[in-house]
Amino acid sequence: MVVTIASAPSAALLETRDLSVGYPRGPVLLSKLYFTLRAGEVVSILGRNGVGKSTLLRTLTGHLPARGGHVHLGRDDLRHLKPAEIAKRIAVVPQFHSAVFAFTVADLVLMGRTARIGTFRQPGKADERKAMAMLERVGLAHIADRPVPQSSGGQRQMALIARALLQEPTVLALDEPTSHLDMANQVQVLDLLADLSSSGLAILMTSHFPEHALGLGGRALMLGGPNGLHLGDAADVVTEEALEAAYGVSVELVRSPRGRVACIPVHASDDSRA
Amino acid sequence: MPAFAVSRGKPGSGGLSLALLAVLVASVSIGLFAGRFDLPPQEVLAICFHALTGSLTETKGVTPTPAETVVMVVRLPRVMAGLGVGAGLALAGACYQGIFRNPLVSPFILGVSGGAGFGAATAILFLGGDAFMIQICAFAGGTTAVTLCHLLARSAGNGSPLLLILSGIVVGAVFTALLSLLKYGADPEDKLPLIEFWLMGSLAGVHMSDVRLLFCLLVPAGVILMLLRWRITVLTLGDEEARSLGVNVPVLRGTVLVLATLMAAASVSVAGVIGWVGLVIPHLARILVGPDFRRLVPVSLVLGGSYLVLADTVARTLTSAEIPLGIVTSLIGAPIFALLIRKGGRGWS
Repeated sequence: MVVTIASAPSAALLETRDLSVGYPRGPVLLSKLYFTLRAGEVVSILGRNGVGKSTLLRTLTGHLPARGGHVHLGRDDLRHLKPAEIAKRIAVVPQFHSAVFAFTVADLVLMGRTARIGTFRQPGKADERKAMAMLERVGLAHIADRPVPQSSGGQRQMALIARALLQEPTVLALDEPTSHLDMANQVQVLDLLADLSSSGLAILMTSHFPEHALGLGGRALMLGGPNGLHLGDAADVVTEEALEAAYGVSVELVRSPRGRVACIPVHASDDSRA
Repeated sequence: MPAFAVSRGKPGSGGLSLALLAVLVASVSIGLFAGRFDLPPQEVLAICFHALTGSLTETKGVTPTPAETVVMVVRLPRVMAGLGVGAGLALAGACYQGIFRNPLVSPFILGVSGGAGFGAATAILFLGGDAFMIQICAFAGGTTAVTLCHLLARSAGNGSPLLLILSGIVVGAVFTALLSLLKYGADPEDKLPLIEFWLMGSLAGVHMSDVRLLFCLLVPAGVILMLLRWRITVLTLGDEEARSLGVNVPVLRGTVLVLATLMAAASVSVAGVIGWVGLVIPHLARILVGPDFRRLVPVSLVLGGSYLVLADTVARTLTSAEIPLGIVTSLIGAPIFALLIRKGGRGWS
């Protein structure tokens, strides 16, 4: 009920060609990036702080101009698309939401309809119905009228995802969606993302948790290793060696009895304890 | 849809419209019925009715009765101008606060009032001081100041809201200094009081022709802002989020700033510098209906217009001499603002 994918499953929704990213007048953080995102795919972007994860995400979503190369949305060059055209295809869940004015959760979610209504029009009953249905779906209907600043971090994250889904996008881009959440909320967000990708939505997210990339499956893009960047199946990319190279710390990958992989960094003091 | 319609504890759109209409009718009635010249309400209504049907004594070639003069030349133009100026300043203030994402911003932050004051003083000193000329020069001065402010912000960087406010402080300071220079050189017996009174703000000399001119500017700008009110709501989230939701941020912000500035400049050029309306009324509206511009715009318009009509009624009836309107709005507005601060900033986090 959430997402309808217009294009054929095999068509590229998002494609980069020889892409370089970086802030204007700053250093180029990444270059020569070629990758393609198709319907239902998950790509997790990993790497240490400052390596360019968010910068890459902002470039792919049209918030930053590419320093070189191209980003294509379907057949269109991202540079030539208006914000409303981009918003109908890519929805962004920001890392922080910092509204000055205290909107209700329902109003915040309703803002996802903006790109779908005309510039001089206001959201109508149909839009409000969609917003309420989405609130039901993500389990926030009971706090629809609560001011956003009075909601918990987990509720806020689910509200921002609900808002993004109301844009009816083909690609969902999330900037560290699990970073500020407790374990239960992390599981809730990851399960929702898995559910959305199986219904055809393409998902692009940055993360500080390599195990989340492994848990979601799909592909991983590891930034800042010895080869600059490494893109491949999450299980092939997220290895102890690659993590050590990218993060500069030894890491143990430990498989739980139920098959989930945990990622445990090794401290200098650990050897003396062993 | 229960959550959207009911449980926020605010009147639904029907109830809200009725409440706004009641406030409007009450303030206009008080403005028309109250005055130093004793006139029963039914006679005021009869004169208004005659004016609508074109059957005033004046139109029959006879000298108008004193009652007709009081209603048609004093009360009605002042009530209309009060509605326009108050609504214009309040909506301009709400838009500025939304765009700058700052509830403490007033429509004068980009130098409209300083520029308009300089323009009015120029007209009084050098261009004969005709009322129409003062209006034109005040409007030109106000819009020039804001334009300079934009050019300065753009040349200093990307024209971000923070740079705009800093530029506004600079431009406002320059125009205030120029105004002081004009006042310093003005004839203290004759011209200086005229400048001072203009700066204090008043609707005393307003004619029906001024009102028509004012509404020619206010109505189109207000209608466009009314249509854009959902986009403005989204814009208050900040540039990055608004853009990712599909808003063309530079275009929308530029449009809203131009329209809000035109409304503020038009209001100031008719009434002088009327403080506090553009700051207090949007606050009050936000406390009543929340930060969503879908409700904030109509509520600001009605409360701003009604507030200024009532303040102007006080200004012309409290004592036998007229009290400058700007003084009344500040004397009432500042304590209201203090109360709002004490209640805490509901509607903003």
